Amino acid sequence: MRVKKMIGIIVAAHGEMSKGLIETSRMIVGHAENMTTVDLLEGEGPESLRDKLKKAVESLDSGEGVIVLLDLYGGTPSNVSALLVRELNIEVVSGVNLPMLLEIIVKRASKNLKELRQVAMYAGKEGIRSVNEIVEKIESEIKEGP
Amino acid sequence: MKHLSEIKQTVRLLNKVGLHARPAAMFVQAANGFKSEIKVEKKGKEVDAKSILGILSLAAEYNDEVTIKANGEDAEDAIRKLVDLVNSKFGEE
Repeated sequence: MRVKKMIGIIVAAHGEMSKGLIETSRMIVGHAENMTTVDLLEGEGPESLRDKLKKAVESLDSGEGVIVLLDLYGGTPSNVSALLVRELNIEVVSGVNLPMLLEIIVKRASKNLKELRQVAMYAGKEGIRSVNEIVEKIESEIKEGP
Repeated sequence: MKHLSEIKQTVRLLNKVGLHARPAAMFVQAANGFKSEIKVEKKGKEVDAKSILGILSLAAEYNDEVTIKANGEDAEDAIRKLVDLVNSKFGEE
């Protein structure tokens, strides 16, 4: 795979989640380059995981580094990543969700790898809203009048 | 100081999907290339042009008018680039 000079994105999650998130992101913002999945299998050992992750990072690293978006903090994938942060040019953020992934996709061309850490964490949280609260707020603003 | 250097321009979205999907991603990516603070406004609702979540929440459709506002040292360049992008229908049609 010819790698363009841009920060790579890895979505590492259990089951179908990685593929699912990436497919959905493609529906929303179109195809994104230098992006791949690492699928975490049930009960997968740390050695095999380390190998998979390392290979994925190396396949995407064009010199700008790679951001790894994990589903969960703690557990084997998270621990394996922690050991790799000193070895590879990666930023690892857990709790991947669609808002996080979308924002990373559109911002990676204009930020460096370390800055993407904050982008990921902020966007992931920003996307979590209560629609009910918003409706209630609008209704109470209408009641109060101009 | 802030308002003195704000530049804005209103454009109409004439591409099929408006500010959604790939055009939205192109718009946000382009906005992120500038230092200025950039906002997009539609019917009184203003969002950060550098955030895909913000732009998508605007729900700007085909034929909608939006106002692009930029504030900062490269505000003129930003407005020009983003207006061109919209007027060229994001190079898609």
